[in-house]
Amino acid sequence: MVTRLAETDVVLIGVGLVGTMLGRELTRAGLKVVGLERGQPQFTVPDFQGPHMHDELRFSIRKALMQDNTKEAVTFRNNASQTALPIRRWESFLPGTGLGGAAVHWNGQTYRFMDTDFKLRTRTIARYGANFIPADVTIQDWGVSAEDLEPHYDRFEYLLGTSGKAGNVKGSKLAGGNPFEDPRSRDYPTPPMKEPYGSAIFRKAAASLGYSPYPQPSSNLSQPYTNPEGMTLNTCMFCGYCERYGCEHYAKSSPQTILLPALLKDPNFTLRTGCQVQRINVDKSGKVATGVSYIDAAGREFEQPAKLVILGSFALNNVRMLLLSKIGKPYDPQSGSGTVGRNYAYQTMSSVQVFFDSKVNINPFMRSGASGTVISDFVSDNFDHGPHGFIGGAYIGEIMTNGRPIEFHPTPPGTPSWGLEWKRAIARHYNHTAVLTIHGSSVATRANYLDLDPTYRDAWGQPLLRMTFDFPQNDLKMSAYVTQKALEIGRAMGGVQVAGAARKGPYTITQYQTTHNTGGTVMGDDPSTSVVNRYLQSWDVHNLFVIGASNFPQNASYNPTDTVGALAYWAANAIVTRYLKSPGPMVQA
Amino acid sequence: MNISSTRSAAIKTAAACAGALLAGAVFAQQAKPAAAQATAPALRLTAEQQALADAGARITKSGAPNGVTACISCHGANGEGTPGAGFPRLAGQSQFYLNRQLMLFADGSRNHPVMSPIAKAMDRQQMLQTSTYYATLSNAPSTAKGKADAAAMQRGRMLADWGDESIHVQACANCHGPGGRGGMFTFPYLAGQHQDYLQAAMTAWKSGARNTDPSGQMPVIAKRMSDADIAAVSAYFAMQPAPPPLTRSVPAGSASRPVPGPARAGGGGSSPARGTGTEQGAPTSGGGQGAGGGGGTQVGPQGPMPAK
Repeated sequence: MVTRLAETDVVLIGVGLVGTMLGRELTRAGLKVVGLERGQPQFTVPDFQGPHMHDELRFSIRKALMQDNTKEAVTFRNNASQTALPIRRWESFLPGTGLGGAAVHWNGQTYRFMDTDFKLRTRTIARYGANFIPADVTIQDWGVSAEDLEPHYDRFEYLLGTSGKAGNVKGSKLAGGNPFEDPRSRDYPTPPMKEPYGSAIFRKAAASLGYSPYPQPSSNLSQPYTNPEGMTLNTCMFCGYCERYGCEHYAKSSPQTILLPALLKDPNFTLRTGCQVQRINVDKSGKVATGVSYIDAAGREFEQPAKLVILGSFALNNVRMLLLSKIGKPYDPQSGSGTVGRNYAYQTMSSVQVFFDSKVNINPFMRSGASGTVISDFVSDNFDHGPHGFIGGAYIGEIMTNGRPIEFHPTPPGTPSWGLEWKRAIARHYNHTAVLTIHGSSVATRANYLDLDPTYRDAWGQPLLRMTFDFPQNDLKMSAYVTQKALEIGRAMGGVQVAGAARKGPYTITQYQTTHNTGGTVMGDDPSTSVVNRYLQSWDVHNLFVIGASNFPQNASYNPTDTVGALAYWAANAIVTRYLKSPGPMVQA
Repeated sequence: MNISSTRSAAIKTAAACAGALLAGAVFAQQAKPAAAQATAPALRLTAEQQALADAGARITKSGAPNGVTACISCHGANGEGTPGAGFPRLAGQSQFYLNRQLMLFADGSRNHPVMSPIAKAMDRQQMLQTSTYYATLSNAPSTAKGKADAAAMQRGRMLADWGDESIHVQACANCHGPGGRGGMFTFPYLAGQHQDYLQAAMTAWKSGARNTDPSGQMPVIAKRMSDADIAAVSAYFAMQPAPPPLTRSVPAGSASRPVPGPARAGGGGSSPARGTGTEQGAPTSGGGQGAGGGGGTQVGPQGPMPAK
């Protein structure tokens, strides 16, 4: 039996970063908001406290904060000729779950995408010609510019309290910051994190090669900070348990530390956890959402009618929810038509290890999720791609996040992978190895996409999402080029031995790379190649907004969270200032 | 290099970097009765450390001619401190922490009418000597007594072990170790410390009179706590047995904390270089793809299955 609940103004699918931000903006506008979170409630105290929060086996290996894939997995295949199988244990990427979502277990790396990223297709053609884009590469413009998003990036970073050093304030270049960044209206809210030793060695080496190192912008804070919501964050203690963990110190910017307590006090907001949304309901015309149907933790079915639906779950789940709700036309790779599930992209990662003499103590355990030093000389279109024949780029950084005992076992090439020699090598190299990360972009292609799996279903009987993905040749070329640059920096750092190689295909889901899954509900100006308009409003259902990294038409060199937050504020602003006054499509198709 | 020393060094390396492991070890000790402290094995010190500790012992007992009065008159013959007078217990406190506090008293960053002039009179070597001496002490009686009713003790324990979300205060244990028995070498132990000293210290953090935490954590935390909370948590810690001195006070490279020797060159294996953590140095290939040249994520027993 389905219980039909009283209508609310707004229903949020997912109470993570996006849900919390939209909840706050819309309750502030006077609307009654119901937040539906499939996972459990969790707060800094008691859920993230030490020592249990430092249980590496539980959180890093067994992925305690992640989507329960015994109930809800993703199936995977490299290409359409294969049969996809469910991912039984998350490895390559880690969809979070629970109150606060993935912003609980993120690392806090907080970068703005560039104007060249938002206009990737136009700018690539303008600089290199239309033939520069390979036939199977479906990159496109976002429909927004860096200038459009600047106030929203700014507001989001001041919500987070991000620690960094500006490189360009209103067009004036500032020494010590990222010289390639687009103009920002003011400096970061807090000064950069302290520079770890390995990062200092990187800085020196990168500068000696003519690059422009700068401190990685971090949302694990360098000092106490009170944000505009009145929430005070503490200083990061460099414990090295950020990614895959909640922060016990109130030092990482997560919904729990930046916004949720304020939202939960608002009488217009209702939080319901343990609620698995099954579908978004639409009226007979198919053009208007009427609410959502969900099943609670006791297995009871509910219909929650709402005037406005905000779909703000993890990128992959945003796509799946639209497919399950039959909203929009699913993408068909054969014909290239349809939009939902189209332009799934990832991130092209590689690394370089620099093995030092045992006199050089790197102290990898004394790190934070976003401490370290990076260069953006090879990001986006910051260098001439003409001679190289690929689109995109990567940042290179000594941004080690931890020296956790189960996961951090640096050994030089040639070391056996088990046994006495392996143990000896770890003891020798543990404290004397720096790792450089090459964090690269990912173009969208015709063959990489998301749809519903024809075979496998979740615990509620709904089809799983099916991922079809392999690394495009373009990205492997990019990785080869930038990884070579990182190897040169590694050698300039004075390592006794420098190891590393570019990303190679085929893509595997059995080793961690990154949780930056993007696309599938992409934004744009053309309804035939996008799912939502530039305000993240569904082209098909005007009272449905889809917000997250699923909006990215392709993925840029940088980490996505800052852009997700900026888009959330951008969309919230459009809803509050325009949509609520006159509900209907904000852009005519 | 023998194997056992490599292993023990590796264990210590791991323990030093992992609060969880360290915490586990300390938890095990906590189960012992307080009387067991007296029989705790003495620290093995290098000759250099022993010399520092011996010199420190002389200063603590007799003072030094450059205006340094004997420490024992306030901090007790065995570093047990003086409850009721605000003089803290020092026995077994980390050398790093004690030495830093002396420097802070000396440069005026931290102030106390009795301690400040003494610290200002000390030279750097004397600070190191007395800090080393106190760090090695293990036979101070646990004299601290907490005075609080059951409800306050419960509140103190909650703040110590769990924190309180309603005031955004995290558990003391996050930094000061489970049971307040010290965390790493930078964070002092609180267990067995005197209630009045703890209360005065927290009040000083709260008022801003003490502002020597480079992270800024302690002032933020103290300001969020009511005076009743401060009294409760101080009483709770005062009731806990003081920990024995920890090897964390001993620098790596000494006899009791050897550093690993070099691995034998060239393992002869052909496995991929791997083990660069998680979101750092993501692997370049893995699973059934064979050897990758770059870093790979070493995920222990759940690691990638060999190619079939």
